[in-house]
Order: sequence, then C-alpha cells, then structure tokens
Amino acid sequence: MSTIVGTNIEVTNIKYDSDTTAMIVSSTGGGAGTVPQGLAKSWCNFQGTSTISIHNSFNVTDLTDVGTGQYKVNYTSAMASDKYGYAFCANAQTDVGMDDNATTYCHLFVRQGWDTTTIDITEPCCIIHGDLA
Amino acid sequence: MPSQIKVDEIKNVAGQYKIKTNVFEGQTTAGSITVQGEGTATTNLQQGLTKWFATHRGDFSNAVEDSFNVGSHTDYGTGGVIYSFTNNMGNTDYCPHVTGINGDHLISSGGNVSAASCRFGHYNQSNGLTDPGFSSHSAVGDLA
Repeated sequence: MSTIVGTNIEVTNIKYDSDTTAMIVSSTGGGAGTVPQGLAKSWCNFQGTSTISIHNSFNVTDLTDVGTGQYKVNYTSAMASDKYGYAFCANAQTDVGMDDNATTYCHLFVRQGWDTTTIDITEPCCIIHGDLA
Repeated sequence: MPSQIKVDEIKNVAGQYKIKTNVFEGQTTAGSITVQGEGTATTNLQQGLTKWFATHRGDFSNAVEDSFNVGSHTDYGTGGVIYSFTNNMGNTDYCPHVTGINGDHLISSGGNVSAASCRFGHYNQSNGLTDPGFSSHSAVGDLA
C-alpha cells in the first residue's frame, strides 16, 4: 500500500471522491466513520430572556422568539429532512424539548423541570446532527 | 512560501483515494476547513466537531468511563460533576449537552461554564439534586 507521509497537509476544502459515497476517516479502534455524518451541522448558544440574541453559533442565521419558553433557531443552510437528531441543554433545572422542527429551523420548548410551567431561561443551547440538504 | 504540489486528485498506487497524515490544517484559515455535506450544501469541519465528551458513573464509582479532551473530573456533591478540559475552549459561549439516567425522571443542566471547565447538575422530578446512574456529557463550540 502506498502512503503519503507528512506531518501536516494544508487544504482549503475536503470533498469525498467520485468512487465512493462518503469520505471515510479511520478511528482509534480501527473502525471507520464518515466525516460529514459525524459532524454537528448546527449549534447555538443564545440569550433566552428579555431580547433573545445569539451568543455563539454555527450554521444559524437568526432566532425567533415564539413566546415564553419557546424559541426557533433558524438555520443558514437547511437540513435535508426534518428527521434529524437534536440535543439541548440549559443552565437551569428545566426540561428542554423539541416542540416541532423543520428543515430550516428547530423549535425549542422549555419547561420547569418539576412542573409544566413554560419559562424563559438565560442560556439555552441546541446541537443538531443529521444530513444537510 | 512553502513548496506546493498542485493536483486535482491524490490516489495511492492501488488507485484508492486514501491518504495518511496526522494533522489537517486549513490553508487560507488554519482553523477552518470546508467539508462537502451529504447533499449539495457544504459544512465546516472544525465547527462540526465535538470538542470534548465524557461518560460518567455518578451513583457509586464516580468514574469517567470514556472521554475525549477531559483532563480531570471533580465530584461536585450529590448530582454534580465538573469536567476540566485538557485543551480549553475559546470562550464561554459553547454548547454543552448532557443526558442522564436513573430510576426517576431526570433533569440535567449545564452551569458554571468556563473556558477551562463545565459543571453539570442532575435533578429528580421533585427538583432535588440526585446522582444519575450513568450520564453522558459533551460540547461543541470553539476551541482556544
């Protein structure tokens, strides 16, 4: 097997090749995974109280304040379908879930953890995995 | 200027698009490499990577069972754990995520976020701190 040996390879773009359907990376244990499938496609850390605003994000164009405890995170590049994976976190004792989602946004729904009261929280976070369009 | 090899494709002698190296670095911006997504859109390698993760036994052993970029962890009393990173995050505005499980309905939250560490809390349905049997923590965001 031939090998290109080097410590660094500098590139601007990495694309999968024309002979296979995905770009593969080897893993520590010897298995392999595809690069695009393993990447988070969007994430957002935002201010969820008062006037909502993005603290830091990737692939997020803006936010929509839907109501108390409800936020839409709108993607810059859309997902291929609405059957993608999502994960949420909050800096409070809250249930954060998905109210509904689409290829262009996810709609977070936040309740107090110990009852069903919908509340705004200071710093919701969401992470999206799945296929880009 | 470093030497350059300009080609459109790189293959090994077996005709495979397969290369070995240890580090990928953006040519225009060191920390930014574009990756073709599943469809026609592109995404960003660095921004899409999980920057640290840890799986944790919180009920009896307080042991981290698997991790990446986590230098140490601290038991922060009942329901609490703090992870300190080997390589720090670039700011405090990253996105942590936590999932926990035990016999009760469990609410998990991230708090006291810093570039060097992150503290998580696990709560039961009565809003009391509780140790999860097993929990998983991770984050995406910017590395320092």
